[in-house]
Amino acid sequence: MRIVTPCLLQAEPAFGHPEGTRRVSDLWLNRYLVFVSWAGLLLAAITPPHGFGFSICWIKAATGLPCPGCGLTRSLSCALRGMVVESWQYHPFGFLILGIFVCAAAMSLMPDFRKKLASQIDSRPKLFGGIYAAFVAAFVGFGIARALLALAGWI
Amino acid sequence: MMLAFGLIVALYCLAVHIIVVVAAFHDGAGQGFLTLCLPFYALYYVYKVNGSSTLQMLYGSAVIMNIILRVLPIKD
Repeated sequence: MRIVTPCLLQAEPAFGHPEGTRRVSDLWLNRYLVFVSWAGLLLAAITPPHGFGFSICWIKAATGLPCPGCGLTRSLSCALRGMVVESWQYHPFGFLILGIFVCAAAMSLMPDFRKKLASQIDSRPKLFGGIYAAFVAAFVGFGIARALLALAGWI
Repeated sequence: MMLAFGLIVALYCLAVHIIVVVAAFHDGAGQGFLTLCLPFYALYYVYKVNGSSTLQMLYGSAVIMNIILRVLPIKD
């Protein structure tokens, strides 16, 4: 008989990746996200709003199709500078992801608040797990739709 | 013929990349964003972090097919 603690989410192994139970807050507030947030904010600050003029995405270089993350750096750069329309055009998720990065970076400076937030997230695993899954599904869904439109020559 | 092969390889590569991105997001938002934003981190993630033989096979075959496409000229 398996006992499930309320604050833990029973996670299925992802493609054979070994893992047992884990907290939902680990999805949102892990150490990688802190690193990515600071790096992303720094990159957005130093990247010109319309990019450097070349693509660093090997999927785009190899296939000619945009991957789900293509345009994200330029979108973040525009979002950081308040260029709403351009940010949306480069990647509709730019503003949302900038918000996530700012929150994650700010929380890395406030460990007590981070612990409180993590316990709040873990107290509602279905809600926050659902929001996370919806975000990933929307992001990937947008990426697939954009790639198919590019393939059809519509964009 | 080669054009059709190129199209299939492009779609296959995109599909594999999306599977890797979803697997990375399953591990956490940080891994997901790293896979999306950092060039070649997906390769590191597949072979060093995730360790799934299925993902390794899918990703490896996508890379090899891309190399074949680069070597063989598309004439159609």
